[in-house]
Amino acid sequence: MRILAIDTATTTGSVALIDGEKVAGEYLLNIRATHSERLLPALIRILEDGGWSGSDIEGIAVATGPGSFTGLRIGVATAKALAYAWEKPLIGITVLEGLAFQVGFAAEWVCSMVDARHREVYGRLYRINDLPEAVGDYWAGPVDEFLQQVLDAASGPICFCGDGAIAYWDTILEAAGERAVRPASNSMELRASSIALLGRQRLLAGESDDPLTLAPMYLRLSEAERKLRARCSAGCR
Amino acid sequence: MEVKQGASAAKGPGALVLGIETSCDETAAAVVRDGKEILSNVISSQVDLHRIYGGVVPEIASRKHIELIMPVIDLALKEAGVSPGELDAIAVTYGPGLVGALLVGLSAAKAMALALGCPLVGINHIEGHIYANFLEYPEVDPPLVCLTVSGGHTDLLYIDEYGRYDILGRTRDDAAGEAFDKIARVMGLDYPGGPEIARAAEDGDPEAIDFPRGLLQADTYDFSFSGLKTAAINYIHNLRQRGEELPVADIAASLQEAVVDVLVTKTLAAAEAYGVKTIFLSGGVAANERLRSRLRELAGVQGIRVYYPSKVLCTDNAAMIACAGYYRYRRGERSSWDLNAVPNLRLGDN
Ligand SMILES: [Zn+2]
Repeated sequence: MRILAIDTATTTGSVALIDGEKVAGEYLLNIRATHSERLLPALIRILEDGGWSGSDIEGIAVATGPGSFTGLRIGVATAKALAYAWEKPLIGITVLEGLAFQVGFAAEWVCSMVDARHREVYGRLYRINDLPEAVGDYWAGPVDEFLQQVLDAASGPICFCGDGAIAYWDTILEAAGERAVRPASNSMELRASSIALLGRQRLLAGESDDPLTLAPMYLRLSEAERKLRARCSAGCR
Repeated sequence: MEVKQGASAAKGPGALVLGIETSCDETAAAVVRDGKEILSNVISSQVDLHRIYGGVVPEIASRKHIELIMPVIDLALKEAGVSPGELDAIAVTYGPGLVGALLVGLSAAKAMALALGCPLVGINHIEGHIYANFLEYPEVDPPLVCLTVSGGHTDLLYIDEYGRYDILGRTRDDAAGEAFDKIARVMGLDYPGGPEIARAAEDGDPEAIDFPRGLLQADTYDFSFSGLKTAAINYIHNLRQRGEELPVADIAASLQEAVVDVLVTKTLAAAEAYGVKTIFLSGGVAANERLRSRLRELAGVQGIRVYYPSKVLCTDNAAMIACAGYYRYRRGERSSWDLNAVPNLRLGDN
């Protein structure tokens, strides 16, 4: 099965082609230019270099989040429109699961973290059993609280990955001490090939998402909604 | 860059352009043939969603756009009876507007163009509003003077040929629609304010209150509505402080009259100075009845014809984007794949 994958969740942006379990191509940029400027050129480049056309593609996988709200929408809108116009199955994979898959060889436990700024992270703990299996729920909040939960839930060494792990590595070391495993820096951030490979598993299992309705996974309300809710719980109307 | 799939030659009689528009709080897609025949025009408005916030919340708008974009495109194609492979070009708004909102439509448009192997044409939203007139009156040609007014802009333009804009004047502070929205809020009217003021004005006396007419006498085609806004808000506060009841209808009518007065006077002066016999009115505020009738009445005396789009084409829609896209496509214009959203794009920048 030939799959095209897209990730635009954080400042890292990548596209990948896989053919079965083989990564046929991967193009990653971690630069200042916006995803809006670089995603389509990257897609065209990898399709051309790989000698693939739309008819070769059997599925499209996309990183749905969490991450930058705007970045997620660029990737998800692109993936949905490609799947719609090419009439190919679409599958959304979370950034956190993609990260856990990527470093699954490093430890039995993996903690994926995406930086949400101001000492907060989006995260989830996974236990690797061939593929990552989620332990506990998604987290969106202070990094310290999350680390405490993760250390209690897991046993032994834990591999921390994602741009949240890069941003708060000192905090991780303080909390986890010798239990903290750090992957090589080129596995620290998501690669689209991980999204492609997980997408392949799902598509082979007969799962797929609707190209009309697939939405990003934000894990957080917009600020306006948060403020409105705070006001309402403080007693309005 | 070459795209592998598909051919970009015209596929049947007439060029079919898919237009996509997500610059503010309307998710819209439309299919237009040859820049004049609307095959479908789907508009999904989020106005109810933003009402409790008293204005458009960018992040909420963007989240709604990503949910609606593909269903809206799908519906536009189905209503038009057109399959994606039959499209000749994709036209999309890339500014001005809310950056996060623009990016949803732009990303979908680029991906559709890549997948279908057809050209991408980026369109300025304000240019789209102007083309709402060419869409409805394809027999009308430049040269002409165009007044385009909405919640975000107030521009007076001289158009001597398709796609070329001489900006004669624009607002130095608030857009006309923006002033309406803000004053309506102070008066306690619903959001959006423009249509609410027009409704309230129906029973009011336009000469009840003498509100300032900014830059009316000045030797410029520029506009200024901040003085009017301040005067109206002060007037309302003063009445409230004295515990008097607000004459809502009279305030709305007088306010509307002050704005219409300035817009009509400057537009007619421009038409006379440039010697044109055609005036276009466009943008959301072009739906205002008072503005339409005053302009038509006074222009008629001078033998000038005034055109404005039907109400549905005055609001943000994608048929006007498809129409503007058609003319650019026909001239061989193409946008590159790295096209980005430009939140404060101005006419003439593209
Ligand atoms: Zn508009």
